[in-house]
Amino acid sequence: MGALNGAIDALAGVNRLVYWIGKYLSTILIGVMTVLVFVHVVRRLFWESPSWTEEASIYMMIWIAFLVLPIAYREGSNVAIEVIKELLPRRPRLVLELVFSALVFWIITELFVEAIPFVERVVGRAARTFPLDQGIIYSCVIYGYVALMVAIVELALRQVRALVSPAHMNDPIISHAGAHHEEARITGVHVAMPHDESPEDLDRPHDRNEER
Amino acid sequence: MALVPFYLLLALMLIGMPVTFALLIAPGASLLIADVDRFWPMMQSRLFNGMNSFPLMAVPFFILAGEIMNRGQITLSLVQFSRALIGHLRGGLAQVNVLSSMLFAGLSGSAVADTSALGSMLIPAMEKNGYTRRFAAAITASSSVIGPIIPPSGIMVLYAFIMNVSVGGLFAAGLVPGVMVGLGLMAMTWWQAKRKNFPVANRKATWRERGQATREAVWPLLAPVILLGGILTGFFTPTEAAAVAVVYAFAVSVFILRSVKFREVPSILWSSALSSGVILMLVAAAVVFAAVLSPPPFRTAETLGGFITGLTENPLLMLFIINILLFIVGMFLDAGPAILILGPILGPVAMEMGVEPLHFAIVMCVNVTVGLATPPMGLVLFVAASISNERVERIALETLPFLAVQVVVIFLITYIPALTMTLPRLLGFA
Repeated sequence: MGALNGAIDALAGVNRLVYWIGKYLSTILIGVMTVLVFVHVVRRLFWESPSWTEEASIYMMIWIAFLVLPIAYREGSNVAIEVIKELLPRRPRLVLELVFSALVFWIITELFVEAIPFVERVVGRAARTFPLDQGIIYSCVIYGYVALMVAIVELALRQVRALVSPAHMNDPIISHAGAHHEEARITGVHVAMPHDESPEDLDRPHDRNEER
Repeated sequence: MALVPFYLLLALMLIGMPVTFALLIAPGASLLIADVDRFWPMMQSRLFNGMNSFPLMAVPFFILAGEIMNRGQITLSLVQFSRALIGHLRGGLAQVNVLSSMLFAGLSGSAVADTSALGSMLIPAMEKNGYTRRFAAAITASSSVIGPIIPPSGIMVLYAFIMNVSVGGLFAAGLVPGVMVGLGLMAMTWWQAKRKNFPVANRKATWRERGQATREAVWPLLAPVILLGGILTGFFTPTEAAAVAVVYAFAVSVFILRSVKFREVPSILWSSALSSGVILMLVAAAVVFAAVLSPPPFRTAETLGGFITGLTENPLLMLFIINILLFIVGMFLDAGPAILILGPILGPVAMEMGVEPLHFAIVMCVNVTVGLATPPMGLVLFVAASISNERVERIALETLPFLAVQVVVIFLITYIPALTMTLPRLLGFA
């Protein structure tokens, strides 16, 4: 159990870093993206719009999607139908979630294998309208997959730990992971903001259990 | 073999797999079963290139604009405006709830934003005014579905992207059905108010008071005029309009109403980025799913379409069946995933029967949006329940008369295409 706890702590540390990188970079990117498109509109009214703003803002949007990918998975911001899953007792549900982790890990690994030649093919080529190597732009795919794999491994280990040790059954990280919270769905705007908690907060199972 | 990916997707989603990953795992596993390797590189490239679209960028911008408006308490001035206009009627606060939703819909296009913003303000006020809590929550949830029907609408942007139809055309087509749902809910509220003797919220406002309320709401009320006017006249593309909406909402909330502080901006940006990232990845996964399953050996969409077409040759009956299917799906699945998964299957079926693409798009968007307020998985019911502290099932029961109104509107727009198609035709979208 000691080794398992150590591995979970180490992976949680990596995921904290992933959280901070994703949070700050995507916050900046969505802000810059908005300004770029707005400037594009204003310039079009009076002068000619720069051609690079459209392409640059699209790439920023794609970067946001891959930066958020591991965070959303770990925090459970993805949409899911949970009616049947929630009918299950805690233990079978954990087993099911462990199966989910394995399946998601498998598909992401397959995609990761394909992503390497996908990125390699564009390294050294500049973007269409601005002088930035496309390899840098496309590398968000590699980052997203690797970070997601780390998140899945941490969650899987936590699920295993909860299965073997009932004391960890209510680990809040695995209670939230994988599927949705109510507030982050396709319809957009959040209702509550648990995501604004720092990752330190997310990593304090005992504190959060006490709150309950 | 054709239906294996679809069955896998269904099974994975039913046992609770997040939809995004179910959309990736189902085709991946099908490739393994069919022993086809050549699609793997395409899956990866589509996942990236599925997001490589300027029109799709309207999604994060509308989310961001909605988030700013939500935090900026823009709703307060809309509620006061509605109250000055119709607050004196019997059941006035319930009517104010519906009218505010209609006005808010022109700003945000999100049912969740509507429920949380208006619900937190109006549910306690209605309860204090003598309404039952479950009725207050029910009318809030029911009226919030107007949000994604009256443009702008994130769901319509998704449909336009996945089915390659005009976003501007969809926005134009959504206006009349949205107003119909709103007026229908107001009529039902009026009838219930008479029957249950609902309270009158306040005395009739003087014209001076109405003028004051209008002045205070003028900035939020101008937003839909700028946005829709810009899009429908072709001045902006929908994506540009969405970016303008963000800057407008920011300027109004931060500089004019001063309801958002600069220090709150990073958290608004972050929560919008998180929501956007989740949706974008879902869209990309749907693109992957469609790309792998359209060509041989699967041809899943074609086979499913053929199955549905084979049910009946009567187009009216077919539209009825499709509506029932969408309604059932909407009860369990969020509007966005429902559109992304079913759009490419049902869209061609409707086209084959001679239904215009924009017309079918609106029928589908309205139907799955109504599903947001139907049990057991109606998202806005959960939001209304959490705001009101009322049980979901009690709210759901109270929404039934309003749901009946929405169903009537769905069938009206299904069988009278002129209701949706007149405006897009006048504006040159169809």
